Amino acid sequence: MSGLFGYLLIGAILLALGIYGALARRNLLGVLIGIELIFNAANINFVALNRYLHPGQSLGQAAAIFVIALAAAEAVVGLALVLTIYRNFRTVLSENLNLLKG
Amino acid sequence: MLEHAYLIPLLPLAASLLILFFGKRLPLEGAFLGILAAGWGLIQSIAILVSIYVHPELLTNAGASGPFFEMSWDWFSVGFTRLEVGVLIDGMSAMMLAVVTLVSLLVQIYSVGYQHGKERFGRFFAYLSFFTAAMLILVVSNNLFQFFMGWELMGLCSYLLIGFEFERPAAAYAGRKAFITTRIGDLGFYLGLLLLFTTTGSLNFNIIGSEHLGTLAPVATLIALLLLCGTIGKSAQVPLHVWLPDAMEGPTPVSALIHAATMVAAGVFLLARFHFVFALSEMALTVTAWVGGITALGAALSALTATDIKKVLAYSTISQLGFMVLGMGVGDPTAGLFHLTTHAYFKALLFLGAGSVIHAVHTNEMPLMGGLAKKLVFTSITMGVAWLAIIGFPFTSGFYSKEAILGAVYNRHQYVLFGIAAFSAFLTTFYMTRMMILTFYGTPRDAHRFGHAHESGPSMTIPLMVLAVPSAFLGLLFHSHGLSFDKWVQLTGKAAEHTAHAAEAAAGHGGHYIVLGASLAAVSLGLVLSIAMYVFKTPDPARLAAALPGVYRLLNDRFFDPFYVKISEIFCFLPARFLSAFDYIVIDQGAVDGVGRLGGMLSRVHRWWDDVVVDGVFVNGLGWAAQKLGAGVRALQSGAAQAYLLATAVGVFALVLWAVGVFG
Amino acid sequence: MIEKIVFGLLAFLVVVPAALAVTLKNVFHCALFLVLSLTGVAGLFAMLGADFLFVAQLLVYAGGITVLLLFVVLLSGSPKDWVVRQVNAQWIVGLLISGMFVGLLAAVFKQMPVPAALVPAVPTTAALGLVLIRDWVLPFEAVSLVLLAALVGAVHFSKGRSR
Repeated sequence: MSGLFGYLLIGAILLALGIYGALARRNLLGVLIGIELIFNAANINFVALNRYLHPGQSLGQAAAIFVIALAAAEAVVGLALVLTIYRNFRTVLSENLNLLKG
Repeated sequence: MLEHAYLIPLLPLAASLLILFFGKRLPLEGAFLGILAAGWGLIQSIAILVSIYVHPELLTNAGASGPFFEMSWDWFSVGFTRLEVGVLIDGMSAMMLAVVTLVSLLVQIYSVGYQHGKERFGRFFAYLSFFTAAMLILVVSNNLFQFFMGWELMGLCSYLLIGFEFERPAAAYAGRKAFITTRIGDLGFYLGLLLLFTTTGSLNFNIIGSEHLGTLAPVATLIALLLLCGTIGKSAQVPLHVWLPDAMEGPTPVSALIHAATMVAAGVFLLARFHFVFALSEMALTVTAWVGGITALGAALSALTATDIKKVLAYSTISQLGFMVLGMGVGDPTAGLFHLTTHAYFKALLFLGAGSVIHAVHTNEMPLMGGLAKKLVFTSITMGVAWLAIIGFPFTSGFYSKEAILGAVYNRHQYVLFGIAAFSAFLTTFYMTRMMILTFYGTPRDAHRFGHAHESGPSMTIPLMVLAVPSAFLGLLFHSHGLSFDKWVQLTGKAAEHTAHAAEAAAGHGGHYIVLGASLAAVSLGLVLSIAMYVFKTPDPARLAAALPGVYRLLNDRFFDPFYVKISEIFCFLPARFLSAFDYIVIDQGAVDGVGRLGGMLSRVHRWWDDVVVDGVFVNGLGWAAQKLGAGVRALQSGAAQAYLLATAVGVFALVLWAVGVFG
Repeated sequence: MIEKIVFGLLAFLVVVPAALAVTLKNVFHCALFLVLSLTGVAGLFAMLGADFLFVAQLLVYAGGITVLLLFVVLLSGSPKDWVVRQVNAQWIVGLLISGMFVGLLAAVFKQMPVPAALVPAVPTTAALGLVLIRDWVLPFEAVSLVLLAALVGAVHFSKGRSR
């Protein structure tokens, strides 16, 4: 477990977990949780690579800041959506939301 | 006059057309037009006769049948053959012109009275004129083609006139029978004509007669026999004689004109015109003579028991025609033509007289007549004259002409035929006397009819009287003036060798007396027997008939007709039935229905194709495929966002793989 | 040495709650474990010398987003929903994909060159500020627009049907 590899591996694991959550959860909020994990995985990768491979620059961290901001925006919109869905369909389970079927 | 001889056939033709188209608007329905045309023709014919008698040099050319005068116009050309219409005046045709025009004129005058009040009055005259024109075309023709044309046109007119009262089935049948029977003869005639043309290359009589006799010699027999077929048909010789007795269904003037004087004589005229061909073949002449002889005898026998007055006259005509043909066949065309001329007059007279009798008593059957001499004076007297002529009573025209034929036969040493001819003459006397006795003598057998009988009007009696003159005196005319018929007719230069006088000179005067004796014997025996049987009833004809039923039946029955019916059944009806069956089975059911069924089968195949392949595979199949494809693809659109996400994840994974270079 | 231990603890703090967060039936619990995981991530940032990010992460993520998440969890659905089965029909496939991702990435990362020794960390705030304002000002402004849009959108959504 050398430093960089360790951080990257953690990032990879978080990515995998996030993908699993996004794909395999019934509850919409669970899906959102998974997505948040993906964001964080990306962030870890950015910062770790910035620290180890390009020590003098801070682009990686700037990117991470962007990601955080966008994640916030996304979370807001997504949650608003979930609320609206709940208000209209009385459910937050993804399998019940199949109006676009066909 | 000679230069305008073409008017003689043209005027009656024009008259017939005018009557046909405008008759209804003209007085007498145009009958006078026909009479005028025939009248003019008679005047011109007599003028021609007189002029060629007085000025023989008018007949400018010398030909196979003697000197002649010819005018010819080109009609049209076919290949290298030039077809012409022409006028040929020689002794033969001049004589015939006079006969035809005179009889036609008298018959038309007679018909004005006879046809009065009957159906289609005008058309009758149109047909009569048309017939006259056709006969005249034939008489003056200078070439085979025109001759044949006239011949066929006469056949048509005969059909139209015999079947004139076509409302009666018997008349319609008789007309058809006449036409078809003569047609069979015409076939032979036409073949002979074609053979003549192909052998000599020309259609003109005198060109053939003068230039091509040599080429004719090998085929002369065949040609002559074929031409004879025409005569057998048209002149009612055995075996094609069957139509003439039935032709009596036509109105009596028709019988007088066509079946006594003119049309049936055309066959004899044919033999005279083509005599130069016959002269080349002994066999043809022999056949001709025997045909004539058998016909003369057979018809005379049939006349013995006939009860219809017109039938008696019909059989008599056939018999006399047989005499004429016999004369032609022994190589003496002069005698034959002489008898033709005299026969035309007295037979026409007999028919017209019979018509007058029928008109008076309204029946043809002699058993219903009797003693009519008291009531029908003119008729009985004129018919008496004709009777004397036909039996060959001395000094009548018939006596001279019959004796000429008998002489010709005897002088050629044809003794069997002579015997037959003499016997036929005897029979002729017998049955004609019988006819006169039954009609005019004795007590009337039907009082009612007798009571109503009255003499006919002048339009009918005057022609009778006119015809009585030549019947009585024509023979005397020739003999007293020292003329022989020869000089008038002036037949073939070569045939002149065969004239009666030349042969008579060869045979010597002994032959002359035998002939004379034979003819006188025939007349007297016939008279005696007939008067005995029918005036004095010894033996009584009725009892004789009862005693010899077989003989009676032999004389009375018609033998040829059932035979012909059978033949026509075999050759016409059986093939017709076969063809009809063939048409129905093979063509209708096989071909037509077959095609239909084939069409049906093809359409079924087509339908299967359309249903299964086109509809099923392509149309429905495409639809099914599209539907399945769509359903399949639609499954992707589950509406479940995570499914889409999964797809995206897979895609991303693939991209990553690519980015790290797994795919190279 | 110490680094390794701290790293290991932090790693544990990040991964295990994350795993739990995506596995538990009770979504409220999941959210809580997410908070924990995110905090661990912040610690990792700190270890990597990203001091500003460390704070930002804690403030925004652990503090803001997860609170929001918790709110929504509580607003939507009743506790009885929190005991039903949580995995959907395609969870096996998802697992597979995730596993493959991990495997792939691990293989890739293994081949990366080992870097030289680490330079001591320096405070990053000023440098970050400069990067954001000078070099990457356009994305910076764009992100602010995005945030605005998200805000407006969320407000619009939450308003519900207009009467």
